[in-house]
Amino acid sequence: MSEFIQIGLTVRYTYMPKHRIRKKPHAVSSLTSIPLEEPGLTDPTQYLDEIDSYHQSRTTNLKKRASADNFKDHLLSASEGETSSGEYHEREEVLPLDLSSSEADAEEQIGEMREYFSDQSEESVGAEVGWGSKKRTFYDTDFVGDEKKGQREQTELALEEEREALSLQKRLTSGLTEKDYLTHDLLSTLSISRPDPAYDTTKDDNTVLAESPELNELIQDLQSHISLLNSLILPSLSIARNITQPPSNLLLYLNTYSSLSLSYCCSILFYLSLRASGVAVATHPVCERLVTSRALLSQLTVLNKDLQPELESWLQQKLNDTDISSDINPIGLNNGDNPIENSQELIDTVSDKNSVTELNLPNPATEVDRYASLTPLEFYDVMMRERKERKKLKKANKHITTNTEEENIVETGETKRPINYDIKKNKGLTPRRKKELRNPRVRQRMKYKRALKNRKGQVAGTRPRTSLYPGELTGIRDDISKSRKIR
Amino acid sequence: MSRFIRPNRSRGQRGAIRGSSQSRSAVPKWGRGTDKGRFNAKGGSKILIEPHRHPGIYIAKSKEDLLVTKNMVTGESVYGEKRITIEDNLDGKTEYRVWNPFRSKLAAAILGGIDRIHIAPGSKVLYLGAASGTTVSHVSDIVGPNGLVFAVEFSQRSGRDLLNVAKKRTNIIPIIEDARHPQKYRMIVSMVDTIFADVAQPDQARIVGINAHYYLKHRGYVVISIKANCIDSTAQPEAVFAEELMKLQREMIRPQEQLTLEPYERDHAVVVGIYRPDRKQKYD
Repeated sequence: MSEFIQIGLTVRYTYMPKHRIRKKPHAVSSLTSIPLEEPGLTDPTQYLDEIDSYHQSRTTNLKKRASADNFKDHLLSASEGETSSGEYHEREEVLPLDLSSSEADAEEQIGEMREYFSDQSEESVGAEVGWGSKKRTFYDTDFVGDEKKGQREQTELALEEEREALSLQKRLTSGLTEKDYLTHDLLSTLSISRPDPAYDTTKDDNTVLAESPELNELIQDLQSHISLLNSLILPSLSIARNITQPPSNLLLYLNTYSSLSLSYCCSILFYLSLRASGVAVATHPVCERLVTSRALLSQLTVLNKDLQPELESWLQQKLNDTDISSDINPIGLNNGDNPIENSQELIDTVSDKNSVTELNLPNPATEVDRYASLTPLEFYDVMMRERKERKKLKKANKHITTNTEEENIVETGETKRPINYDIKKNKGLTPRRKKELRNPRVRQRMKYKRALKNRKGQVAGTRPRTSLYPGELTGIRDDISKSRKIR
Repeated sequence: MSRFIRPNRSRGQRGAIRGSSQSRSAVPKWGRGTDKGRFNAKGGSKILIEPHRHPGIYIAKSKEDLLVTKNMVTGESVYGEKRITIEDNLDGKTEYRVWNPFRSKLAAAILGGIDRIHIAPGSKVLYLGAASGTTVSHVSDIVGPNGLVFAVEFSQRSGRDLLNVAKKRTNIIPIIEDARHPQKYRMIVSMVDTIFADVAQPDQARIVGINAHYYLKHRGYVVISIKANCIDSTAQPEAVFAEELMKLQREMIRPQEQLTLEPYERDHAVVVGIYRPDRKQKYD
């Protein structure tokens, strides 16, 4: 430690008068018992003249007084347990010393020294964490000797911190009320998101039902269809698909029913979402779609009555059967001609009508049968007609969708006029500039090009002299005199 | 075979349009037949010969226009230039020689649109700096059998070619002498109407002046080609031309017009001046 100090001192010798420095150990010696040797210069009379000695005596008196004060302060603050060097420094600055500026500087230096010593004394209390005078006391000491202990301390500290943070949070949140989260007005508007248990929802329900009575029924339909699909149709469909040779009628029925009911559910959901977003749904094509799907499903109910119990039992059997053999046919599905034909008819009607549902029921066999009886010419006609119809339908659909989009915009009413380009780009009051001005290099290039053009009009360049003179390509004008007349 | 008269010209026109005059008769003298001056050249393209504004000079119109002079010595090329032969019922064969503006300053000046050249059929011309006689041959074509060309050239080598040209053309009088000493050829040269000078010497104006004092008639004309580089290669061409004009004025030659020879020559000018004009009279 003494080495360290001495180094500091020797450095200071270079720009501080020595007699000033000699004072420091005096001032500090009571705090730290560090001997400061100064080789050679023991007697001040050896190097001080008369004036110097006068000034020295003056400053020493002052400093003694000041250091006594400081020391008192220091002791006071140390006893309070809040020894902060900053504060100490402040106090020192306040001292009413009538020293010249250089002396004040010197005083400052001394103050720093003293600070340093005081720090040393403080650190001696908790030396193991602080900086030591020796390198190895603070290099490579990060839990080298007692690693586990260090880690344990760390984890304990972390836990404690967490606990404290939690308690702090609790304390803070306990003081908060509902009002602190949201203002009263905002809360009232957000009644949906934060429902009051005491609030009577039946009133709202009534109003909604009054507006659209079909809503209840639709929701019920949706629930029933989804449950049926989940419990019966989709599992059996997946099983039927897994069978190597599934009975075609079974697949047909399952496919038809599942796609119909899925599309129906989909339509309902879309309808509900439209309702929720506040768009007028009365004219929306989804309504039409809902009606058609519903009608088709109701036609299927006849089939369902007969088939579903059988299907259930079949599914049960299949599920129970661990090894599924391909030749097992569902009871009644193959020989019960009547319902299957019904379904076939149904599908035909669907495809003929080209209904909005656009059920994709690929049955190539039936398609072929349909066209087998036709002569090639008739077949061509039919195909062309169908194609035309399809096109027309597509067009009509497109028209409808665009119309509805427009209507939506109109009916919501509060849609705002979109911002223009200038606002979007945050143009402000910037004047319009040519695109050419964006790039200085290009600007210069263009400038040069223009200048060349202008010069061509002003100064005739020389044509390269060719070995064979072909004549004047642009003709000879003999009626023009171009010479400059001098008069 | 009328001349092309374009009444409304607003573009690319700097000088005055010359009014139509008797000298530019619509029908050339040799072309009154059915195939008026029409000619099938080697390539088979038709060539139409028209007289130029300057008498004695013609324009051969085809895909590309050519400046031509009527060849005095039919069937002979002077410096390997092309010839155009036109057969006519009345005059028989007429031959024209192509005048290359890249080889002749006078041709360049004509194509550049000089107002007057003061060289016409029948005029006497003192040609200073005749060189090999390329331009001199065309001048002799222009002045015709009634005119005379005194061609002065100092260089022996060029003089030999000039002599060869003069052998065929009786209206050329070759003089192998230094143009700085006009008294040396005072026994040969008569008074002339026009001096054409293409000497490219720094003291060009003085040379022209002396010759004018000796041989040029009063109110005769001087046509000088000035190569700026030969006079002062460091100065701006325009400055050199201006300086030359001043010098000419000191020699009692009043400059009338000036024309640069772009695009055929770089930093060349042709100046036309009148010698000892009447002070009060205006000449155009």
